[in-house]
Amino acid sequence: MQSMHRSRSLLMELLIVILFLAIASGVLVQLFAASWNISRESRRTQAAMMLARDALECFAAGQEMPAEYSESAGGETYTVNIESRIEAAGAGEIEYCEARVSAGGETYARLETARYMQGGGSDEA
Amino acid sequence: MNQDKKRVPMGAFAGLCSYLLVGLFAVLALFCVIVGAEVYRGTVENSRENAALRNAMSYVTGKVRTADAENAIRIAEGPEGNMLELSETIDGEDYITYIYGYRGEIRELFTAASYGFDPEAGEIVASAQRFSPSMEAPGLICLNVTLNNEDYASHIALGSEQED
Repeated sequence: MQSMHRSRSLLMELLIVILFLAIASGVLVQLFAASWNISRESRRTQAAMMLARDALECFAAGQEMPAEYSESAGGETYTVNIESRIEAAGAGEIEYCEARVSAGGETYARLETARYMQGGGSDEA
Repeated sequence: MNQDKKRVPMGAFAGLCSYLLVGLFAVLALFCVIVGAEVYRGTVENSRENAALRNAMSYVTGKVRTADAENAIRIAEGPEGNMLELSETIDGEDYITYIYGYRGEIRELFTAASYGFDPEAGEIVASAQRFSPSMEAPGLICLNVTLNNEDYASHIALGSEQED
């Protein structure tokens, strides 16, 4: 009788340990998932920043930019949206350009630059 | 006698359960360690890859911007694809900084223009399977880099005019 009681106590003790392990494992899995997500977001932000910067460099060099185009980096496809507007300034015009890079419906980078065009024609970045 | 017969299987069952639970505990603990190690490895790899690319691109972009003067930047044929030639004059003597891809690395060689170009002599800047710059349009340099079998292209707008 005493032996059976001891066995049951041990079993209960082990069950409590397993329960504790299950809770700890759940917390750890959540942590790992969060870490993986942060890592992926960081990778996307990095790639998006490079694409946005790249688009603005092309704009600064006087290239004609399409309003929207796709680029792939790091095995993912990003959509680059270019919005430009012109404002009169002094003897010329300032052309503003905003590059927005998104993937999966989420925007990861947004950068803006401007170039001055003397007399509304020739570039003067 | 009857009681003894009942006690023996119950004790054996409890013992078996204990062993099973300890086994389960060990397997779950091992699983956690393996998953954790895998996630950590992935995160470190990702961060290292990001840093390598960003450092390489930022470094070359910085060098090009520093040398951005009239006819100071040239794209020439390097040991493996194209290379960048950044010229400057110090105390009346012409110097050239060569940035090129060589044996899986981006290298930089700063030397007097009178000396010849030796790809082995360059300092290692970063690891990259391929580095080949090109003049995509007047005033627009494109840096083509291959890292971990992936191609990246980064543009640099020049403020000054170059020969071609």
